[in-house]
Amino acid sequence: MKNYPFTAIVGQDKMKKALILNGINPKIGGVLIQGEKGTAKSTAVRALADVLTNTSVVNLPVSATEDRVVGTLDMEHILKTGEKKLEPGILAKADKNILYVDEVNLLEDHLVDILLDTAAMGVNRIEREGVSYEHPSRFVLVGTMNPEEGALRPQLLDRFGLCIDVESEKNVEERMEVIRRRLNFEQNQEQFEKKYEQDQNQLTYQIQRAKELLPAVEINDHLLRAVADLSIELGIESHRADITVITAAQTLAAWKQRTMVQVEDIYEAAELALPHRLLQDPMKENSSYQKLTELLNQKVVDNQ
Amino acid sequence: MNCLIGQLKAKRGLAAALINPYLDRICITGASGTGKTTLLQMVLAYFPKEDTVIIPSHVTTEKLLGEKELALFSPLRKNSSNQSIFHQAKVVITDQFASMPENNQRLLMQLLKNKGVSFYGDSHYPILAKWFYCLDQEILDKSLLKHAKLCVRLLPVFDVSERKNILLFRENAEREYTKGELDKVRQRLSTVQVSEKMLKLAVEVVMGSGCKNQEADMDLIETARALAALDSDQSVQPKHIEEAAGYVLSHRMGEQQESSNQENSESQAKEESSNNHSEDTGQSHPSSGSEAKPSDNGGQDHEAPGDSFPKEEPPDNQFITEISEEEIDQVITSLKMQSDFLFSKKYIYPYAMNGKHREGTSAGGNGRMLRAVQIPTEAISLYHTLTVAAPFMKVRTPSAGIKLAIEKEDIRYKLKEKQQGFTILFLVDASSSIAAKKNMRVVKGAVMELLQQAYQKRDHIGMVSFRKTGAEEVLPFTNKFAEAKQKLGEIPTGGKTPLAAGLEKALKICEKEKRIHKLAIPYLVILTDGNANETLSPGGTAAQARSEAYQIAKRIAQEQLPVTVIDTQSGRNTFGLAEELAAVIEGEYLSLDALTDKNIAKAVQNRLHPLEGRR
Repeated sequence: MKNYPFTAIVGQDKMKKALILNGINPKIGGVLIQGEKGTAKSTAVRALADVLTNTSVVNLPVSATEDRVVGTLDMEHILKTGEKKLEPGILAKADKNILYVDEVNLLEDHLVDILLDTAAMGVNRIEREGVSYEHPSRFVLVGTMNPEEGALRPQLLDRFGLCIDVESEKNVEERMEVIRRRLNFEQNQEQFEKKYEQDQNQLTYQIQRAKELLPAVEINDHLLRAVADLSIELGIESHRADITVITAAQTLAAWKQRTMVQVEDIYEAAELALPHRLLQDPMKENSSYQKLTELLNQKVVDNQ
Repeated sequence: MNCLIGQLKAKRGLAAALINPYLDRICITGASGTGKTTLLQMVLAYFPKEDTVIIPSHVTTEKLLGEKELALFSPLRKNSSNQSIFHQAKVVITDQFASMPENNQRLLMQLLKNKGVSFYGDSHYPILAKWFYCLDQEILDKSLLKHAKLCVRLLPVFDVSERKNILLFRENAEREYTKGELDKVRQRLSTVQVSEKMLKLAVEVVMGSGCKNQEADMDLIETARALAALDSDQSVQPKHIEEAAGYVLSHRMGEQQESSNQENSESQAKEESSNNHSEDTGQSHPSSGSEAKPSDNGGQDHEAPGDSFPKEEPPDNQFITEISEEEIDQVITSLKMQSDFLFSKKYIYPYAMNGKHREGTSAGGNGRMLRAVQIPTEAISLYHTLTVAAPFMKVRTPSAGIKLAIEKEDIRYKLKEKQQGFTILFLVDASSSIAAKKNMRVVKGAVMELLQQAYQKRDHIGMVSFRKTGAEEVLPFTNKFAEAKQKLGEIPTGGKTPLAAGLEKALKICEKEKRIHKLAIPYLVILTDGNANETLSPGGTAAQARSEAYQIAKRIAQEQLPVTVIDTQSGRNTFGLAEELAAVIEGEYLSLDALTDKNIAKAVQNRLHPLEGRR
């Protein structure tokens, strides 16, 4: 079965942008996609791997067993040879790939702990059943969730670099286009793929270019100050927030084929990197998110 | 598909799902005994046996993920060692989906939805199966419905002659979709066209219905196409969209909260479709199948059901959808209440409640395995024992005649969670000191609700009431719904509050129950305001009555019975007496203000089956 091409996804530009940025620069720290069912979340994540070179999507089921995730002793090997050997788990496979957790808010607690540990260090350390072993496990963590089904643990939430909300399309024409494309895809996958081949190749090339450009992207002190100001103004405690905004802004600049970060990159990055780090006042819904948008709009106007 | 009489609508829905590969998650719902399992068996008959996987509700997580088989156990089957049960499956069937543990439900759903998961080793293959699952109409958690792309509803048959047919089981009563016909229809499917107008209609119907899931657009179109193919139509007609909406949207509409809004827009959509109807009446009216294409098979398809069941044609269908909307309204309100309550509760007693109780339930014997432990229980887990012993195989010398060297310290036991055999005793204050009438209704409602669930979870329920001078066992432990309902009917109320007598009676009954069933854990639910004013031997003062009651409460605490005290005193003038009682009895305290009868039931069930209730 073929994946639906990334470039054929209608709308959802913010989600696509966040995914591409992570594809260019895994250091951003992944993305959390929040939204209702049926908004092409899974499709987009699976399609992303096709436009990145040498990357695959590794699925982490919410109710997986610890053995399966961390890795465990290879029984067969031990019984046959008497030597210990590690049977690698999902985290080993996820190294240098995308680790995709659907319904991440429902991820079982013992798995969340493992994930937090590994994501923080970039290393999976196995200390169980007489095995002491470690291997690198640097992955782009992509989670999707429907907030109506429960909240995410704050530690895990902060671990996601970017966070975006997706909504179902409200425009009838756009929705019809979604169905039209999907029907064509179901009818003849090869033909459909051919139609988007050029777009896909171009996107792959663009991402590749951005990757090459990224190390050369510079950011000046003036902009660093702007980031710090923004976080202070919004009352964000996490320093990871600042770092993520800057990393994302640099990646954005590379994506736009520039070697200098500009102020609009900062605000564009902040829009993706800050929403889930704002202190939510439980009494007023969305208030801090609105505050962020207002503030960002204000800043953009000021700078023009 | 010919052993089920009637249920034309359900059968058409299933046929549509069978011919369109896109429609891969199908839910069959209906009241118990309406033939859900029979329908599943029919689905099974369409596929060769090796393509089908039937998943029992007690399937383990390991099995779902693909178990690693040891060479030790199966030396010959080395290559198939890391395949999951889904390998090469074309159909996956879960009859009792609702009774699966929640984490496995979710796992199964994700495996089937995400179409591929990395299993052990490097084997990574997509799952290309159609998934059929059954849900009882009465299930509490309606969100299970939303996993389905298509939901087929079975309705009870109230027509006498039809019912007779069911009893007679006339197998050749009618011929409907045979395998060959469906194969032909499947070939027709690719030629079915969808006009722009129909696309638009579909999108508008979905948006109007208030279903937020955009995926429904696609499901609706695909279902309509399959239905059109069934009718041998060249293109999708408004009637197909309308019919498909019944399968695709009705189970997803609970996602919207404002019901009035939804009804309006739904009727709008219907108007629209009927308008479209009238535009091309000439073409689509009598038997569109034979007119569009002279294909005899298609004509038969369309006519045979039409002739034998004129009653189930469109007007009836519409009636059905209206009913389901009303149902959904009710579901929304009750679901909302339940979820509010659940969320507030979960954080108040996160571990204390579950942990204490689970210890009691994991006594071994029968039940679902939680994990392997070193502390001896009744069952040894061979797998875990071998796992522990395996690394030492080379250094140890096995004793004569035994291949493996397993030492005592390797042995691991199964820690199990007990799933059945709970006994719930309600102790109800029927005195005049509480606003008896209203509260009695709530209590009776709760007992009814629990009994209904006892059918599923095999809990037993009993009831003791106390008033005037003594306590009375209103309902001995039972799980028989009808009998209990009758006895519940009239519990007399009024008089003083002999709390001590009530507690003593409850304690006696619980002790007796414990003696009879070694593993049964009687769970006591006390509904009272705690205002004791009658002693064990009538005539004592209120103070005496209270101290007597507390003495017995202490004895109950010593027995370590799990207890919940539900305060029946309404908000304004509580004296905190029930709360005091809860403290003495070392139980949990709940206030009736926050409870409706459904919620009492939910609270009790949650406590008894913590693993299921947790989200």
